[in-house]
Amino acid sequence: MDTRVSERTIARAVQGDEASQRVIYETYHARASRLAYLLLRDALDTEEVVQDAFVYALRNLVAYDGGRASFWTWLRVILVSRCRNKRRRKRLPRVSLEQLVADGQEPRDSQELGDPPRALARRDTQRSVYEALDEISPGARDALILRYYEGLPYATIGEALSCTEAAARQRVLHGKRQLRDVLRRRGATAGIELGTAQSAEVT
Amino acid sequence: MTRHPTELELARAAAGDRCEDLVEHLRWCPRCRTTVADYGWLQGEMARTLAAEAERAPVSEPDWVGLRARLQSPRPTGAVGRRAAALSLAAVVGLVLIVPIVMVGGNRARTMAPRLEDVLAPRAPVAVMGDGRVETPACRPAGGLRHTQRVSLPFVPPPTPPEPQV
Repeated sequence: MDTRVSERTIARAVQGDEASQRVIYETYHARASRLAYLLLRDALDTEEVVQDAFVYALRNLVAYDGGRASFWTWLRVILVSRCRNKRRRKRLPRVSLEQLVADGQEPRDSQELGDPPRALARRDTQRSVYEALDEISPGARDALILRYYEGLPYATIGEALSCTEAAARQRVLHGKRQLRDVLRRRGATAGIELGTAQSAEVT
Repeated sequence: MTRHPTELELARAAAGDRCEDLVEHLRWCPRCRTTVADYGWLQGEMARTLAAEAERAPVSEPDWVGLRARLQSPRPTGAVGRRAAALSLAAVVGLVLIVPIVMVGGNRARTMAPRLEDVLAPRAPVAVMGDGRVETPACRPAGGLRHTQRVSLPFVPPPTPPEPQV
């Protein structure tokens, strides 16, 4: 995931060098697409938003300050903003995991291939968590994705979501609370026991 | 800590943000310990789930040709776009400000100013004529009421409920 382009490449791209612009685009395209897909859950929207974000970034490359943040940090702010705009304009379609599985996008985990019951349990748990993420508020979901997928500190989450660090922290906490409530509600039907099995480990 | 911590405090504790009071509370309170464990589990599970979903995300091939074409095309938001936006904004502001003023002002003028015919010929009470017609001075020539005989409406008793039958 640690993909980055050199400052020299960016400097050349600012001057209009097409080859450097292409290097930047191809370096960050996959990473941007994955993040946008988690935020939007729609392949077509993802493609559109990623292209939009790159068009904006490459046109406004002069505004990028390499001494302040990495290029990915700058691009991510643009991308997250575009994703949120897209979602505001269009109601977020909800794709069930059953549909994804039917489409042949089965979860794969090489470590669990030799242990079918464990693999099944893991898949069920991931399915439940992923579906539960759909049921929480969009702002909290964005914050959770940036926190637990991108691993960002609260200050950077705030920058990406146009809010303060404290507000970003609250969004993450409220997101976790909502997620826990959804999973607990579903627990009765899905057999999710949350982390009660590990409760003894925490002292 | 004399009270149970809130859920948010416990979620924060699961993320490693714990004060001494909270640690002490968790030592003897199994309920709060379970909640902290839930949040700890949830954090790990979210990280794993999101990473797995991102790996499965349908990532298309980079389309540099399409992107270059868009980069070379003129920007859609030029001077014309800005002018159109300014005109739209002005129209909206005009509507918001002018329409209520016109409506409220017109209503006030209408309610405050007496009508000309009310001043010149004040209305008489409504008269019920002998044949059941209702007449007011406004709907007949002046002086007409003087020649008609005024009668009272016959008294009609209200219906009584039926007698209960034993």
